[in-house]
Amino acid sequence: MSSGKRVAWLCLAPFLVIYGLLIFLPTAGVILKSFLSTKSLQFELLHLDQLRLSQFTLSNYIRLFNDSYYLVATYNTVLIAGVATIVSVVIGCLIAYYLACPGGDSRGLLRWTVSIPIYLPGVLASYALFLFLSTNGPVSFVADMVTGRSLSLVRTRFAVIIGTIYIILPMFIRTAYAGFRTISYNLVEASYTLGGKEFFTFRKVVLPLALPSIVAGSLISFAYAMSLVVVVMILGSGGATFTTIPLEIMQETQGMQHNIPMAAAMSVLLLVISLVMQYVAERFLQGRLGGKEENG
Amino acid sequence: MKQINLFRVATWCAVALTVVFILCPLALVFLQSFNPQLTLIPKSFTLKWYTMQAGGLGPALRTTVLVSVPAVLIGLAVSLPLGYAMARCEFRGKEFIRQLILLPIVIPGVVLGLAYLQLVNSTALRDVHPIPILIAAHTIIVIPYAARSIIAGYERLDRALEEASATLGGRPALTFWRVTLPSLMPAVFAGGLLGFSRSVNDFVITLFLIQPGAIPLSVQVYQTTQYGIPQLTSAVGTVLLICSLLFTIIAEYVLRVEVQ
Repeated sequence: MSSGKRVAWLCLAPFLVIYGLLIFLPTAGVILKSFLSTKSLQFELLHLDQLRLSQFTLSNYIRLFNDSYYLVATYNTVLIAGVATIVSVVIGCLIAYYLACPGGDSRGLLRWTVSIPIYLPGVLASYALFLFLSTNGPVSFVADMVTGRSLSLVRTRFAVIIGTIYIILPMFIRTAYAGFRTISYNLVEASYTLGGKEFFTFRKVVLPLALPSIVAGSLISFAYAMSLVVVVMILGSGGATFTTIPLEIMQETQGMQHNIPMAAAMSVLLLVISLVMQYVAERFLQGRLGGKEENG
Repeated sequence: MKQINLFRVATWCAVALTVVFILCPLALVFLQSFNPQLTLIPKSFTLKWYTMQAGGLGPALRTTVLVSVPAVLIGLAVSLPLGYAMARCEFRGKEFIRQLILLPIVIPGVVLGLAYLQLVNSTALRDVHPIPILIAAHTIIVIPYAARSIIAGYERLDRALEEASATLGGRPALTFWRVTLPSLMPAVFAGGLLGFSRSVNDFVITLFLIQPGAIPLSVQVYQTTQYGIPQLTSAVGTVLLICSLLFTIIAEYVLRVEVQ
């Protein structure tokens, strides 16, 4: 038995070494940095002499939660992610249920279409929407025909919300679909037999049963949407009219006046939100499945 | 009766809207990449945006292959023993490791990017060529997908085959090469493909680590937006789009993988 354990740990060793060096060490460096005041790009964990010279401080976090600039950025981030998640959940539930119903297996085109964005680079999706919503795009073309004025929707929060939906809707549909698939269709038919109408059945029978998946899917989508930076970089205004937390992290690392501790504090905020949401989502999924069987 | 109709109508609207919403912008990128002028509907056809030097399509493709292929191979090499340990061995902390594997998916890209930037900038890694650094970062992107697929593959595997090989005198190494690995191949391929797709698609982590001369496709799309020529960006984007569609077809129809 002990030799079996040795084999197990030997097999795990490469994985543990890689994750230790490329996940834990760098992340610990960011967490440490968020409590320091040296603004430069130093990796203090490997330069302990510099760590001794630097001062520990909570000022980055105090700024993050008090400075109106960062509060507005946080508000924008939550607003964009929140609206995008709500729209995705409403549309996504309808589509996932439609796909999961008997006969849904033949809905190949729809299944394939909603799978595309999962394999699509976010940068390409954002740019495609940029073309779609900008002055030369079809939306503006239609607006021009109707009102006689061209219309540019890019560089607005609206455009960023649309871009975020494009990316998280397919992710949400996957999770919700998996949830709807576990429901026995007999229950739905029983409801129909007893006179339940389609929407009534959906609301009173299907939704409650699929609720853990839907809640888990929305939590994961929300956390993912909050950290999405590529959509803001392409469809946003580059921080000119509005900014978000992930965009601020990018911008604090660039230019002459970079402020790495501030970027690190914002990263820790995003990291904590992502980990908590993932943990709660996992709890929801496991509570329903009562174990680790067919998850995903 | 009215309620039934409303629900049906809502579903149909959601379906139609989503299909249009997903496909139209992509079709627009495809069309614009062949458009000599900046008009909504192309009047003639050109391939000049694909060959233009400023688009940097050739070097970007080369960098993508140089980064993603080694990253996938290393990721698979790490995931094979990991999958064996997770599916066949009993040890403490297994559930913890199962969660640990998913960390690169859960940690926001912008956080990992900042972390790598900080690490690379203040250590000896500063003088290392950017390609090996990108490979290391992309290995982390690949591992969760490769590992999950391979663990599931090991769990599905029929142990009787391996036992038969052992009974017939096959050494463990021979059994692994001739029996285990061939049966694992679909899982290895699916995991590798998903990992490759995620690696090619990654933008944020890569953006923190690129240097001139080593810019992969996904970042190149962003770089070309600075020229303000939509057709040029569309041309680079179309190459990525075709890759993505291939991934989708192979994954959904050939392998039927389940992604989260």
